[in-house]
Amino acid sequence: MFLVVALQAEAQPLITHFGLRCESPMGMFRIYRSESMALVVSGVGKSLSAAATGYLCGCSDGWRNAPWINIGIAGHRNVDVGELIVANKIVDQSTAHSWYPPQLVSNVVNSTLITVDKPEESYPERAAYDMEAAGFFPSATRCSTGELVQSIKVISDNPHQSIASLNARSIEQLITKNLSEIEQFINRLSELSIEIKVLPHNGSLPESWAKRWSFSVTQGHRLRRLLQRWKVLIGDGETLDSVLGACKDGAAVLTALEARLNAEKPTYRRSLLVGPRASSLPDVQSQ
Amino acid sequence: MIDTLYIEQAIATHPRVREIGLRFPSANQVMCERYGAVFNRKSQNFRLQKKNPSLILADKFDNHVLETPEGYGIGGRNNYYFAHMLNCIYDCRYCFLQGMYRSAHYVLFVNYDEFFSAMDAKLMAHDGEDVWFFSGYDCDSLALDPLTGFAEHLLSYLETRPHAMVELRTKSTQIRALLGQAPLSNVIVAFSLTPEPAAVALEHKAPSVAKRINAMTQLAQNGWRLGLRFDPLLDDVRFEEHYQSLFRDIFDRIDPACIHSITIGPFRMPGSFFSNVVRLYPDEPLLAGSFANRDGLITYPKEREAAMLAFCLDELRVHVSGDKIFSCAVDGRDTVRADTESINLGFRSSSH
Repeated sequence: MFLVVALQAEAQPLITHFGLRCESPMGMFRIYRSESMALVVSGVGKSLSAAATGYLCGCSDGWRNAPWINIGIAGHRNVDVGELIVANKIVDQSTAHSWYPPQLVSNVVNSTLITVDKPEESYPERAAYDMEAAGFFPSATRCSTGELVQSIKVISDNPHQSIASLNARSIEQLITKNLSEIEQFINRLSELSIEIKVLPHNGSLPESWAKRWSFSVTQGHRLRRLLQRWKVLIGDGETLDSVLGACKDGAAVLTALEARLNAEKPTYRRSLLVGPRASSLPDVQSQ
Repeated sequence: MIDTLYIEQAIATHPRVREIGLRFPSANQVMCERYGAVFNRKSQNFRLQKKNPSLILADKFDNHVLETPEGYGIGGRNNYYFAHMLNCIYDCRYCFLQGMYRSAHYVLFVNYDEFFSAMDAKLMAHDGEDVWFFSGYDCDSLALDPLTGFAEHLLSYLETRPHAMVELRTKSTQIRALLGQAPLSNVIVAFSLTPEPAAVALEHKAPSVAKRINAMTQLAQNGWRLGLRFDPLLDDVRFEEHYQSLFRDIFDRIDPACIHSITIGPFRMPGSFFSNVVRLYPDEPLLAGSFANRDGLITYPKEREAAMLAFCLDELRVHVSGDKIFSCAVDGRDTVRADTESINLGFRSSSH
């Protein structure tokens, strides 16, 4: 779970609530972490938001297809101060470019979110106004699938309550009041991310395999798919050693695995694997 | 239930858009320039979107009616297809749409009349000849009909065009529009069917096979001509038993005289689509099975495919004459028995 937040005042309630700790030494941006979450404080503006998103990705593992959320405050013409909105359309006012974060979480208030270069005080459209989302979204969707990249904003100002009245304390209060809703949203995205974290994208083959046989890059890709198939079709019902014991090189391993899998009789059945599946490859003993 | 409705700005005031908007009063309406900005974007995951697809209302500018791949058909010479919708409310694990599209959102093209104008143009081009129009290649023809009302408009159009022959392809039981009017001889209501155990395992959210047969029975009783589409044929250790049972269940209820045509097509999918589907569902037993790559098309191994086709042909010919049976096999003319003359090559993907 990765959070991108513009201001320290927006970040502080999240840091406290989720028990995040500041990383040292500090680099380009300040990063806070727990085992399951990382937060970067980007500073104000879409360029900094895009840069901080990239920086956090570069400094982290497990970023692919993880939830990436931009959390902060925004103004809105029609929504009360203190309400939480999820952006279903992000517009970069300076370029008129739009993005449409797919909305899979039900029972949230959605709004168009317009990213402006200077604070918007006249709220010309029925939309929320912020200064980061149009930088964050295209950057974060290079790390993860769009469904898991979301901007959620607490409304901090509107035509009845000026942006000029905001200070660090009031911003912290606005975020704090919405922590429960923010956490629910985060949890929902986490559940969705588990569903697609099936492939060990950066996984390397077990060390014992590398010692025993060598595989080219192409063979490695093929091997991973064969092992996935093994997990689905055969599972723990048979050991890989029984099939691979006599193999002398990587090519023979692939041939033997494929032959064994292709001999498996097809049956109509649903996938039985649940949860964070196939995070590891089936093991084989080294000789 | 639809939570989010994307609407192209240019058709925001179209009566059909307004009407559909009223059907989802609590849905968020998001205006967009063109549907592709939502539907074709990179960084989308079909599997996740399938959990809560949105509806996109759009205007189709061109290519309303397209030629079918060479050789595809059910006996006609002039064959075209069209899709008033993209994507399907069902979630069949063998469906090529999940490998073809980045998004699982439903796109509905609301300019129905332009589809009909394009069909008229094809009828003119083949003056006096029958022209076949296949619906339900990129969507299920009837599944969302209570929302779209498309079937009613199409049937009304077809009443005065006897040379426009239409196949409505479906797994749905939404047949109210058809039962509400006199049958048309130029419409074939074609049901996609797999054995019940396959349907339970792989056709998520689709009506049971029994319900589909029930819908077919009602249509037949009302005089509608039916099509049976065993496409894709799906292999199983008890393949013969399952398909025999499926055919028996159908012909126990349906008079073969009501059957216009039967197509059989083994599982097949372009390699790139198949890779996409495997990436989405690496844990799916069907996709982990034994397949061959034949000129870029993923199919069952040739010998197995031929055996499956031959078995089904033999079984079906117990019930209907061979001239009603068509094959969508990749190399149908080679693999299916030579004595079946009316065999056509199929679409490059299994239907859904």
